Amino acid sequence: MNNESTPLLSVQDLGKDYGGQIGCTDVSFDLWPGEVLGIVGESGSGKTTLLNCLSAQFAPSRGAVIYDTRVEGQRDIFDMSESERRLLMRTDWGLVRQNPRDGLRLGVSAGANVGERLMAIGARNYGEIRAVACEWLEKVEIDTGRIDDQPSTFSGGMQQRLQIARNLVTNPRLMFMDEPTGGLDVSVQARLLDLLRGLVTRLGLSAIIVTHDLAVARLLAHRLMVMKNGRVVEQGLTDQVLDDPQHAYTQLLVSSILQP
Amino acid sequence: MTTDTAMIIAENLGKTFVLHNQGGQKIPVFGGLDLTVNKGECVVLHGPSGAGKSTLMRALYGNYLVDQGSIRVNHNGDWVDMSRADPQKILAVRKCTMGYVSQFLRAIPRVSALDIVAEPLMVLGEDERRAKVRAGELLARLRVPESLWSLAPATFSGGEQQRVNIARGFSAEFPVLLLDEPTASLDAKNRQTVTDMIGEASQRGTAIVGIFHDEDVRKAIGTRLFDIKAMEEAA
Repeated sequence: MNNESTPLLSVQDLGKDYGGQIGCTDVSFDLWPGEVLGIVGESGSGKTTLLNCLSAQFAPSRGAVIYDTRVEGQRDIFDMSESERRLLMRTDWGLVRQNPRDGLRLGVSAGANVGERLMAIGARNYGEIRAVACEWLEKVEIDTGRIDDQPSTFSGGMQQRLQIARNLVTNPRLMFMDEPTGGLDVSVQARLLDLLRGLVTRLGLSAIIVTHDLAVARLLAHRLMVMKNGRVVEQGLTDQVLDDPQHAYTQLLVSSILQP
Repeated sequence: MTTDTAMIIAENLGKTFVLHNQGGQKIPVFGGLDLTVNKGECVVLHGPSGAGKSTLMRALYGNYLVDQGSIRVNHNGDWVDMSRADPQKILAVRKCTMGYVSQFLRAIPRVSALDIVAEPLMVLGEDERRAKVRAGELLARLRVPESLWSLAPATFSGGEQQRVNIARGFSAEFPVLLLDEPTASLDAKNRQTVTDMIGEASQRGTAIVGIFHDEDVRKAIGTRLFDIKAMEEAA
């Protein structure tokens, strides 16, 4: 186990510009082992830009993202070589995209989608890879009889669960999720949320979840960051931020929720 | 009162809500409030509706921020100030030291009543089977029919949901319990059961802060009344 007093991820003065426009700026926070951080805000608030910088999809314009690697301790992910960063993303990190079609390989079977990350880190025994893939399909409640089917034949909810299995198979320590329940029916959402909640607790994962859905944030996140115009306007314990919001924008967000 | 048995020491608490989207309107709730709660004490918050009883309770739990003062909670012998501790620390206090029974159950889709009640024990590392046995005992004592235990409480009646909520609050036997009108939607029999459970917790040494509108419940378990006056009156 890593030192409990070292944050898993330490973000310092991070910013990303697009031409003259600010994507996000002045973002600093620490993420601790086992902690789930929610990033909320309306579309255009910079939350996905921030997630893309944190997960090394984009290079930031300024600032640092320090990750506590298993072997070498804390390192700035943007000082790593391209191959080191790719290895990190294939093993220690997971990235769940809003649209599962962006995170899956649609032309190969469900089993191969899950097994791919194992093969990328050197697994070669077909029987073992298939057994592990089966195990993970069960954990995300996909009928193992579908292991040889292509994900293009799956429903949206199944695809999203497959994407989660594909990411978790290498036992990552940190998951990035961009609107993981976006675009799903409410009943399918509930199932996915329940699954995510269980997996995060059981596996002791750390996660950063971008969502515009405050109910999703309340259910999954320990701590919230509220973004507006590329800046963090408020952060704190999830239920405190939602029940006693201090910033005008957070008060507006919370009071705008429709009660079913 | 000696501080070695104190579980909560709140000093000079002040709370004002500021509604930024309604012209910055300020709603003062309380100010200069001091409250100490010792082991085995059941302090009943008392005052008219709107005086800030629930607000104080939520502040003690770290759910609401206060503008001034400190709220120290005895967390395994360490004092944690809930008014300024970081989220990790507040969650640790809630996990091990302080339970909170709200007025309404916040049901989670697909999670069964039994699992909701067992969860506080499981996060403390209790074995799953034992946690569920304990959860079942509590649900049975509160007369929640066994046929409902495996169902998610979203479809339960108000009284049934509230009893699941109470069972959850009592499963882990926290050293500090905050109870916000736990008996409000219950019939006489169940109200008596909850009153007994609160009394037993006091006997065990649990420090309790509660809001009880029912006079009989107050008399049966309250060791002390704590008056909260509405701000305008106090000023």
